[in-house]
Amino acid sequence: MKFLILCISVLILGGDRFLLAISPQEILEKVDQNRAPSNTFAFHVKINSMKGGHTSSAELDVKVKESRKSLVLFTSPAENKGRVLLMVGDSLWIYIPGTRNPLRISPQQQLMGQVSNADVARVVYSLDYQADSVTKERLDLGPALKLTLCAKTKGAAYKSINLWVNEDTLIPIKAEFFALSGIHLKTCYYKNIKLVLGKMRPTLLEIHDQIQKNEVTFLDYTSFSLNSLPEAYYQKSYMERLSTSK
Amino acid sequence: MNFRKKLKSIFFVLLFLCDLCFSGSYASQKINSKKKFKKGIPKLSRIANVNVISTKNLLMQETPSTSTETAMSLENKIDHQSWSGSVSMFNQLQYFDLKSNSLLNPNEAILNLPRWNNRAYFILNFKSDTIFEGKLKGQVRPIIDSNRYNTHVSVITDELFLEFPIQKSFLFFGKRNIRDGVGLSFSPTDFLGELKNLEKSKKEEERRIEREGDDIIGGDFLWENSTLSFIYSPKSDTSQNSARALIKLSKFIPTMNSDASIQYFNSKVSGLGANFSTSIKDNIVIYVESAYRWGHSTHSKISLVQDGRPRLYSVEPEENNVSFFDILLGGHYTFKNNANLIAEYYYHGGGYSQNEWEKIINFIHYSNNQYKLGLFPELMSSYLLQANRLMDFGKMKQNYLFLRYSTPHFLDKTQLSLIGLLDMDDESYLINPYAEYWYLDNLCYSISAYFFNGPTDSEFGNLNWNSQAILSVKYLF
Repeated sequence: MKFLILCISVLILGGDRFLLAISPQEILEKVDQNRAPSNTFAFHVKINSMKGGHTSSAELDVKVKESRKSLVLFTSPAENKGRVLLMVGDSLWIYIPGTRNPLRISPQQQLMGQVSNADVARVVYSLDYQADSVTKERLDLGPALKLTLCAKTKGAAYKSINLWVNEDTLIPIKAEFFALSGIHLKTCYYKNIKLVLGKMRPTLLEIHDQIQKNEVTFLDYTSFSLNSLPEAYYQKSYMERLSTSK
Repeated sequence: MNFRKKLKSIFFVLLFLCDLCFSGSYASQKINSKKKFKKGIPKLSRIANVNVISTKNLLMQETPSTSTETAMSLENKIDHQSWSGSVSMFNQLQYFDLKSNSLLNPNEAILNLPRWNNRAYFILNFKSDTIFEGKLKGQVRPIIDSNRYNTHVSVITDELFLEFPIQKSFLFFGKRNIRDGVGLSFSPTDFLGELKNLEKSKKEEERRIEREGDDIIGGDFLWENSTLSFIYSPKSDTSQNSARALIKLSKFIPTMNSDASIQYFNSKVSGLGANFSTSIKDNIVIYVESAYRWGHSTHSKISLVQDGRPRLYSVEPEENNVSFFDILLGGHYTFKNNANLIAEYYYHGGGYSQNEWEKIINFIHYSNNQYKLGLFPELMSSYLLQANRLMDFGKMKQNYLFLRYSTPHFLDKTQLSLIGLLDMDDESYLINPYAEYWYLDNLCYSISAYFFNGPTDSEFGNLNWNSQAILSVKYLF
C-alpha cells in the first residue's frame, strides 16, 4: 500500500519535474534573464498614458549597471526634457534642469503620474522581491506558472506581485501588483515578444490601473544595447553632465 | 600666498589655451559652411555666434590668430563637432501691494517704488563639442526689465565654460555657476554663491540657477560611489569676493543608504561644511547641512556717533573677525496620494542677534519719527535710504522654520504648493501659495503670491509692501 502511494506520488509530481528541479527564486531569476538581456545594458522606452480621453507621453533613455544602478534620462516631452533620475539600490536622486543640484527623493515620490520610478529604473524583480511559491495555472494564452513575490527591500515599489510566466519559455505574460494594504493597484501584460540581443523578450508592457479603471499605460521598449557608462558615473556628481549630454 | 599666485598663473594659462581652442573650433566652423547641425540647431547658430563674442569678453584676452595649420587640423575634426541647445522664454509680471506709510518709506517719500514690474527674458542653454573630446557649455539670459520709471535691458552670461573628460574625471574652466547643498530653503554650504542675490520670485528649486557664475578652474574626480572636487576662483575686480578655493569629498554609503559630503572652503570667511542625507522607509528623506565659518567679514554697521539733536549715526562697512555656525535640518514626507511635505529648520549664526536687530530698528524708528516731524529732513532721508539698503528678508535673523506642502500631479497637469517661512526670533512670517499649469507640453502658466505678516519692527513686517503677486508664462522652444 505504501509502495502504491509512493508510486502515485511520483507519477503526480513527475509531471512537475520542472517545479521540483529549481526553487521559485531560481525560476524568477530565469524570468528576469528573459526581461533583461544582461546585468548591464541600455534601452529607450516610450511611455504612453491614457486617462479617460487624455493621452500623455514621455520618452526615456535608461542605462542599467549591474542591475542595481540605473540612470534615466528624460528625452521628451519638453517640460521634462533633460531630467535625470539616478537609482542606486534603494536610494533615488532627481536632477531637474533649470533647478538646483540633484536632490534625494524617496522611492514613493512619483515623477511620471501612474508609472512608478521603479517601474522604469528597475527591470528585474529578483533584486527587490522574494519568490515564495510557484503553482501551475492555465491562462487563455496557454499553460503558465504563477509566481508569488513578496517585497524584500525598502526600494520595492509594491508589497507583493503575482507573476504569470510561460511554462515553457519562462517569458512573463501577466503581473498583478499589490500595495502594502493589500489593494490591487495595477495589472501588467507583457506583449510584443521579439528577438532582442539573442533572446525572445517582451518589448511592450500594458499596465492597467485597477483603482482608476480608465487609466492604461504602455511602455514600449526599443534600442536595447549592451553599452553602459563607467561604474563611477552612477552618482550624483555625474547627473548634470548626463542631462546636457544630448 | 605663493601657492595662490601659482594657481592664478595656471588658471590664466588655461584660460588662454581655452581661448585658443575655442577660436580654433569657431574658425573651423566657418571653413565648413555645409556643416550639419543637430535637430533644431539652425535657430541656435545665431546664439553660437553671439557667445563667441561673449567668450572673448569674458576671457579679456586678445584672440590669437588661428594658423592655417591649426585650422586644417581642426577641419578634419569638423564632422565630430556640433552645436546643440535649448531656448526657454519667460515673462513674469509682478505686482506689489505697497504700504502707503511704511517704517522705511514714510508716506512713500523716500523711495519711488513701482507697483508693477515686468520681466521678459530668455534662457539660452547651449553646448558644443570641441577638440580633445571637450565640451563648451553655456547659459545666457537676455533680460528686459520694465516698470513705470524705467526700462532696463541686460544680457547676463551665467555660465560659459569648457569641460574635458580625462578617463572617468572632468576638468573644467571658465565661468560656472556652482550650486551646492542639500537644503531647499537655505544652503549653508553653497559657499561659492553665498554673496549672490537670490531670485526670490522663483520657486526655491529655481532660485540658484538664474545667477551669474564665477570664473573658476576645477575638477571632479569620480570613483565608484565617491567624488573628489576642487575649485579655484581668482579674485575678481567686479565682485566683492577675494580669491577662493574649495575642496569637497562626496561619498555615497550604500550600506547606510545615505550620501554625505565634507568640504573645506578658503576665503575671507573660510568654512568647513558637511552634508548628509538619507532615505527612511520608502517615503521619508532626512538631511542635515551645516557649516562652521571663520575669518574677516565686512558688514555695514550702524553706530551712534553723537547722541545730540540730531543724533549722528554712521553706517559704514566695518571689517570684523567672525566665527559662527550655520545648520539646516530638514526632511521630506511623501503621502500616499503623492503629495509632499518638506519641513526645514535653519539656524543662521551669521544673522543679526536680537540686540543687533534692536539697534537697527531703533535707528529706523528715530529716522522715521524725525522725518515725519519735518526735522532734519535731508539727514533723516539719507538715514532711511541707508536703512533700506540694509534691509532684505529671509536670511537676516538667526532662527527660521520653513514648510512646504505640494501636490506635484494634482489634476495631471497642475502643480500646487503652499509655503510658509517663519522668523522664529520675532514670529513674523510669509505665506506663499503657488500654482502652475502646463497648458501644452511646452507652455506653462504659473501664479504665485507672497503675503508678509508681522509687527512693523519685525523682519517680514517692516517691508515696504504687504504682499506681492507674480504671474508667469514659460514657453520652451
